[in-house]
Amino acid sequence: MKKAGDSVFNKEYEIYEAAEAMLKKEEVEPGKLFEQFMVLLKHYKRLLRQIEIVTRLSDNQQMKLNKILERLGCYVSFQLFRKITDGKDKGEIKTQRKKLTVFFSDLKDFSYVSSHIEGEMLAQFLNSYLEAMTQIVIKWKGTLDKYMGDAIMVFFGDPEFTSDEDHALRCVSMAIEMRDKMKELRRKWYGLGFQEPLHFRVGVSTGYCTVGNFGSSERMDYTIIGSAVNLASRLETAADLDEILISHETWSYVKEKIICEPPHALHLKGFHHPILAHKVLNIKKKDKDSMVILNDDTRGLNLKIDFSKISKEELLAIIYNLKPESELKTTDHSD
Amino acid sequence: MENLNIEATKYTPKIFFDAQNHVLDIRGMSYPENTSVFYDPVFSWLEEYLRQVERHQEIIVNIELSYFNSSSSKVVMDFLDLFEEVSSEGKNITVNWIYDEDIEEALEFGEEFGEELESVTFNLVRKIDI
Repeated sequence: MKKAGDSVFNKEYEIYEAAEAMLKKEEVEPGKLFEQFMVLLKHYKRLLRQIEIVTRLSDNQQMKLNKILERLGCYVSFQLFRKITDGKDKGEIKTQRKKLTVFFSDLKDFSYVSSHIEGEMLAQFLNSYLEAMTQIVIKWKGTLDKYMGDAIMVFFGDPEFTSDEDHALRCVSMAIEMRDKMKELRRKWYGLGFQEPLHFRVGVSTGYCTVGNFGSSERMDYTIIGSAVNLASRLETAADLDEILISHETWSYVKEKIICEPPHALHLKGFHHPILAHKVLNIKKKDKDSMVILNDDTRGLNLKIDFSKISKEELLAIIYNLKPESELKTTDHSD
Repeated sequence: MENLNIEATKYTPKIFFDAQNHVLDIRGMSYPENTSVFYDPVFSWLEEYLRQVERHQEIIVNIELSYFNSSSSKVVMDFLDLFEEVSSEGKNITVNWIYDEDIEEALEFGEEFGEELESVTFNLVRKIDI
């Protein structure tokens, strides 16, 4: 057994050691032995009571701590929460450079819509939107940086790093699922009496960011800064209704698995050179491409066919109807 | 006998044992880096004081610990056991466990600590902000 030292159990050690020493003696008077036994008994009883109390109090404290942690976990991202509770985040003002994929979304014209909705209704509406979107963020294991009103900022690649390709693909897949979810939410909101359909828009970019704790020793935020963050935000602002615009670097990581329109060069605030932005259409099917896109602006041709949604027969019927009337007549004659 | 006066730190309570007025105060938080090192001199002072004090002297002990760790709770129980022992020998000791209502477990701790005391007068005293 451990020897007595700087411990709150010093007294108990002393009593134990005295009893042990007595047993080691060759001859012990029965009276002394009985006396020692009584001392041991008294202190054993006291120690048992103390341990009972400390254990009970400690269990209660642990339970309360768990509840506090659960509540606290709602205020920070799941990944950051794990980082703090695992003891990996020391709460220091410290940053590092990392390549991340950054996501920004917001609801277009939400400020205007919110100006004529009652506060309670607005809170209910906004919370239902953020709840639905957050579930999708969790599903794709994004780090939810913050909500800014109706805007959501998420990044991939920290604290959990996999690969640049994986971060970009998970981020874009998340954005596509969110866009699909918006269709469902719009129907729900319409049924609840919101007459103006709300649409969201997304900007995604990949690049080096500075990630870590920013702020003061009293109050800090675990967040990211850098041009990739600015770019994602600018792409989001440039996106049209329900559009997902991704940067050229993000596109380079996902091009084999995501169908995008050919890029457009955008002039974005804060960027001196034109930025290539790719509009995301959908996820490529594993077996074969189900999408055909033809863009030829000079000849007035913009065509997108999604074979997962239309049959060959339906498509032929449409093409047949597109034929000029004279040609149809000729065809008729030939028959 | 000289008074014992230990100023509070971020992790240790203020201790002021007044041997002339027989009032012993422990107030603050108790998370010492080494609980035994911090409280050993306090125990030594206390044992000496209780040895010297007259048999029927009335002694008031005020304990107001807002937060403390498990080893500090062991120390508190050792204090109370010491008071219980000398009370049963004739000393008149009153312990006031001062708790803040806003701290959920403060009352619960007091109830647990006071439960087994027989000779010591143990009061649960709600702190009133003035």
